[in-house]
Amino acid sequence: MLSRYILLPLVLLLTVTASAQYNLLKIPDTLSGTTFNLTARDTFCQILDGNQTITGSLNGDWWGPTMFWNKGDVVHINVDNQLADTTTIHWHGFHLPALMDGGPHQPIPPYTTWSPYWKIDNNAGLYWYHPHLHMMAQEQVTMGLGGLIIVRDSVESSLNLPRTYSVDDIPLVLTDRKFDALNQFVEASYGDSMLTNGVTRAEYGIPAQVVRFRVLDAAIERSYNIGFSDNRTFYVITTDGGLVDAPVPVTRFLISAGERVEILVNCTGQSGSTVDLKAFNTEIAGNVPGGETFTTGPLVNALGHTDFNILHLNIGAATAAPVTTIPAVLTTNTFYDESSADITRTVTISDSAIGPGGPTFLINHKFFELDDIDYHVPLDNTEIWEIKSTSGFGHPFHIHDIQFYILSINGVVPPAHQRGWKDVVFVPAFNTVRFITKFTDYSDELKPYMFHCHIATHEDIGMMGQFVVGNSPSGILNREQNAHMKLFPNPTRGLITFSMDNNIRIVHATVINMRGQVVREFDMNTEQATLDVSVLGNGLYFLRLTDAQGGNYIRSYLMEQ
Amino acid sequence: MIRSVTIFAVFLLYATLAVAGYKPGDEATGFSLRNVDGKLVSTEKMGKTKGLIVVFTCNHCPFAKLYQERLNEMNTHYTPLGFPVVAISSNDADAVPEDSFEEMVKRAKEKHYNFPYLYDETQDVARAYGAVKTPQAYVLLHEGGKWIVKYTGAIDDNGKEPQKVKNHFVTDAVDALLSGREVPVAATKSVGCAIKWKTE
Repeated sequence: MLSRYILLPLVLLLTVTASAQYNLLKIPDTLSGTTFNLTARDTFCQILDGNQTITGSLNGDWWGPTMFWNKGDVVHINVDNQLADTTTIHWHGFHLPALMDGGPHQPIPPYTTWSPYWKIDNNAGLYWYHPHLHMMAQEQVTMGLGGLIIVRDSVESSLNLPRTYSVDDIPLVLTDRKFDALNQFVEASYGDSMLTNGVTRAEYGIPAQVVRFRVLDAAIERSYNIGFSDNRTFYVITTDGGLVDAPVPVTRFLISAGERVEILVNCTGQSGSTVDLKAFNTEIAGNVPGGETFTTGPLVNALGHTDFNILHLNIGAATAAPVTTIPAVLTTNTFYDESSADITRTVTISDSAIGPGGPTFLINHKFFELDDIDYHVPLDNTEIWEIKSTSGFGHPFHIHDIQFYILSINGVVPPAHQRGWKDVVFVPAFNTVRFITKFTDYSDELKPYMFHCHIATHEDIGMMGQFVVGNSPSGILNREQNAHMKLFPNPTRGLITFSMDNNIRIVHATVINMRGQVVREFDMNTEQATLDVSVLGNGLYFLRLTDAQGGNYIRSYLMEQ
Repeated sequence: MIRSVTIFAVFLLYATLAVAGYKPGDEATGFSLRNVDGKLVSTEKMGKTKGLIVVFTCNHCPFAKLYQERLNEMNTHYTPLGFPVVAISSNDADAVPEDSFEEMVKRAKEKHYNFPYLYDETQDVARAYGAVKTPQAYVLLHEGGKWIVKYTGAIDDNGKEPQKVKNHFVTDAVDALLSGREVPVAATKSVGCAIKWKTE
């Protein structure tokens, strides 16, 4: 059965490659203003020939609208979840209150609407939104839930840059998928079919002038080593969090899961010619996602360690007022000085033992727990984070709330195209990356921000940690506080016993399911009790205990009957 | 470490759920469920039917909606041949209000369903069959008083464009059974929205 699922897409792929037909690139719709309505729902989309593919989408049938936000505006978003499954929507790259972040702690139950709002403080650039429900991120991202956000500000607007959306300013969402015999997604780290804005074998017409591509790596796992088929020079003008000081000429750019880059390519005088935007993934190492040369196992895929097309470009006539030159200077960034750091934190990335599904990867030597806080970051702290990897595989490391500046990768100053504001950094195998950042404006001792590997599979399994920004570590979700609580047996068949130390007396116990719904409550006044939760079905639950002073303690347990 | 055990246990749980359910050749359980006309429809009272086309479906799923007309056509064609369509909705109406019994009654009227549209309120039938998606079809042959599964999976291979269907999995199976041949494709993966299970 397995071989059938692997072989069939391969056969399909070979057939369609031979036909050399291109499909027109889809451009996501746009929304602008300050109030935005997004509706997530189950739907379907014509991706391959033949049967439609079951997808999930925001406002459409695959991938959501591109939202245009202005720096300084307060945006209000209404996310209406019609999926009949809990989800979350995370605003990737944004500096915002933790409550509005859309991470695993802001679940949106089915048929409810979540309405976050905050003032946009990010620089002009390309950002995105996507589900971030713990252990479900890969499944929901695979279905096609997500979208782009383009932030504009006065600095970027004053430059002579292409910015006519879909004409000389073209969004490109890169991902890949594996399909089964009925054209349905197979949840997998790597796909056999490249999807550019959800289109296989995509082509697009661009004018013979300077064209801007805004590129997001939205893949589950793959990095794309992008370049053009004629090896022409192109210019990197942004990192994740906005403009770099000056365009950086390159012929290749390695983009990893979660990262964004905006590039300029000068096609002046080339009307009538064609060129391909490609992934040159034969040039990347076997320990970079997509560079593996496996011949067996679940990671084998038709695009692995190969060069493949991302977008076939037909260059046509120039527009009326074309941009024809690459600007010499873009902005002047001021990054934090290394000497101003209040603390250096070391975050470890490591391989765990190889289990039944292959190796799993750890952050700080443990799996993610919703009730464990790795760090309490004082408000306004300037911090150096040292991401130290002993993993034999490279991982894109992402942190919420802030943009950072990379100080060094294995002791070496990063190349010019990485010297800008970042929220994802690719940490190569056995390397140490150091970055500096400052945690400003938003303090909330109860609601954490995440840091994690942006490979959805790794994140779901637990390659994630969390921190709160605030001055007095107290309240729920506090690792030290939870240490007072013991819970056993785990997994349980029906009876669960808690035991508190330090003479802590519990007055109330609440059982919460994975949807965040309270399913059982108990009143008491005791340091230890056994609760009968046997009527609840199998699954993962949280037990929240409240002491006489109102302090909360949370641990999760698994019900297995 | 506990967590890794936990995760593995959860995976095992899902794996167990995924492989549960009927395979071709299995004997399927009968059922007695309330139809949108208020009456009970029971397989025990179907002594003369040669077989059944059981389709787990629902109101809300956009992919299930694509098959409403096709179910009517199938029922029109195959009822006289002794192989009627029975549609069953098993979704948790608390999770999906659009899938409540009242809404099922409305849908059946609006779309002029000519087949029974049954409400599996306890979800027992869907669990017994191992249905996971809407729509998901089971072709059952009535042999010696038993309901034998002859096909499980998708109805056909193109939801949105019926004219482009290349494999009519369900009707091919029924045609084969009616003419005493082997079912050409006995199982496919069902395609659609996940059945929404009650949480407790």
